Amino acid sequence: MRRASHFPPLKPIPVRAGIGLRAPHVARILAERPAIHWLEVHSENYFAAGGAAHQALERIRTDYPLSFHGVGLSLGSVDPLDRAHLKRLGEIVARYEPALVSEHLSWGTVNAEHWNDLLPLPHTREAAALLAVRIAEVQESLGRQILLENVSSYLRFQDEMTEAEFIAEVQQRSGCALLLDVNNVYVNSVNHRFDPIEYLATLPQEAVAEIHLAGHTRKAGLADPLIIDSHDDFVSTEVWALYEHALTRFGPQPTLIEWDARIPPLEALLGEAARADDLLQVRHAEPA
Amino acid sequence: MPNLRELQQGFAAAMAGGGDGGIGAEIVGGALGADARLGVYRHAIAATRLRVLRETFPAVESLVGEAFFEQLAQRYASQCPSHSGNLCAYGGDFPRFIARCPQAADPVPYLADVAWLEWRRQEAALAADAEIPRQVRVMSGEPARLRAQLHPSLRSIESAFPVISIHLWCGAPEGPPPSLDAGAECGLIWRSGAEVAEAVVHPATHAAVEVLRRGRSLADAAAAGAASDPQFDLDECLRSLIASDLIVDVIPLPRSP
Repeated sequence: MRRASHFPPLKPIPVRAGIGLRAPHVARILAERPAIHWLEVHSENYFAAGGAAHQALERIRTDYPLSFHGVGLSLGSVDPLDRAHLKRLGEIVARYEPALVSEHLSWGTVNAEHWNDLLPLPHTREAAALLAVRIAEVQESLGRQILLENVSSYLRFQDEMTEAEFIAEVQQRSGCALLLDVNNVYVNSVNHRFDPIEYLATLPQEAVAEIHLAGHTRKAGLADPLIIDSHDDFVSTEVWALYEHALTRFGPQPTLIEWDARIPPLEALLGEAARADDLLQVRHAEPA
Repeated sequence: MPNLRELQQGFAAAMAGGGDGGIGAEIVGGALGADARLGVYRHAIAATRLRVLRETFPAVESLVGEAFFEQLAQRYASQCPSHSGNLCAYGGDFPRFIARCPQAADPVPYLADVAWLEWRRQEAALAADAEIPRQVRVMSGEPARLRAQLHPSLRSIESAFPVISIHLWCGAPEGPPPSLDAGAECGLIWRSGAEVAEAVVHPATHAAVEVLRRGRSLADAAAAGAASDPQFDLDECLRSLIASDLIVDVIPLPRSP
């Protein structure tokens, strides 16, 4: 069961396709207010006390539903949770009232050093138990349910369970919702040679509340296939196909186009969002 | 299988020093191998940190060139670990690191000061907002009992080099670079609307603003300015700050207990 938020969102996220708000597009979005169903921002970009980013977001939030997506909480670290980071997250969540708040199933800190990356966890019962405790702490602190995203990875450990089983266990133990990054599922299915359809079938059907789509980079000439989750290109044909499987499995869900490097004109993102939205509309039209 | 702490410590060792950090046997390496797979993360972390430093210190990079800046970024990452998941905080020690780095300071003696200026620009960009009154209420009273509440973004810098002029030239390098013969320069840095502004100021203004920034009285600010230049006029200085929306209020000093 989902917890009631202490901070009901200003605007709920519709089951439509949105885009990640990126700096090169902010001025145009403020000036032209283009038709975008919803926007997702990186939480840490609003950790500063003030400045231009806050001034822009205060205006944007009145016109667009917002989602906050964090990258720095390091939930899977054995180091203690960064209380200052969590406190600041709580402050901006209270200020902007985003409809969704999400983080990653990864770690980044050990011995007080932050590696500023989404590092892979072993799929073990120990790691699942730690994550469940940390997610519960965050949900308690924020007074709301959060979504956790599956991350792309370039190595795996001598695991006790599959990645999908691990995520299902974390979700079941913590009561979090899931942000399903379909590109990350595809990337990992190639990098670690598993069946992505089986992966989707293993995830708890009712827990997925948001989907991410992004572009990737296929590395050539290596001894093993390797795809990097580069967020610098259009969504690949294979990921669009997997997205359709995900919609079949989880039903229509708010879907986000992520593009973080070599950022193209806004039209490119809106075009990708329109394509995702068309697929969502087809699912909406289908009988339940 | 080691426990999670041992695995994460090994992973961190592999990121810091190369090699497999002693966890190679725990990784399903396949034909690519554990070292190469760890290397993907090592590369991604270095690229992220380099990108952040480039965004924060563009003038430093323009002065030393891309290749040397990348070397500086690598050495900085290995000597000054990140302690925050908020990348806006990354690079706060970079000016101090450059000042201690002879390979950087010898060929470009003002490099650390340019880095300090760029970090203060970062601080100004991210500082708290403030409500600027349409007309600052200047209380009458003893200057020794009043203080000016400055805009939170206001920063100052003092350098033995013409650091503001050099920084401005780096942003628009037309004509010859500023001559070091121009000598010392003081400057103010602040946020104006969505942009960060900077300006050269008289050393007396810099001295007075530093005193005001520390929350001390108008009389102390006047004395600090006069110590630098007997002709210093605090009223004129305050009027200039008010005109740039850099004074939020003039209020009584808290009474001493």
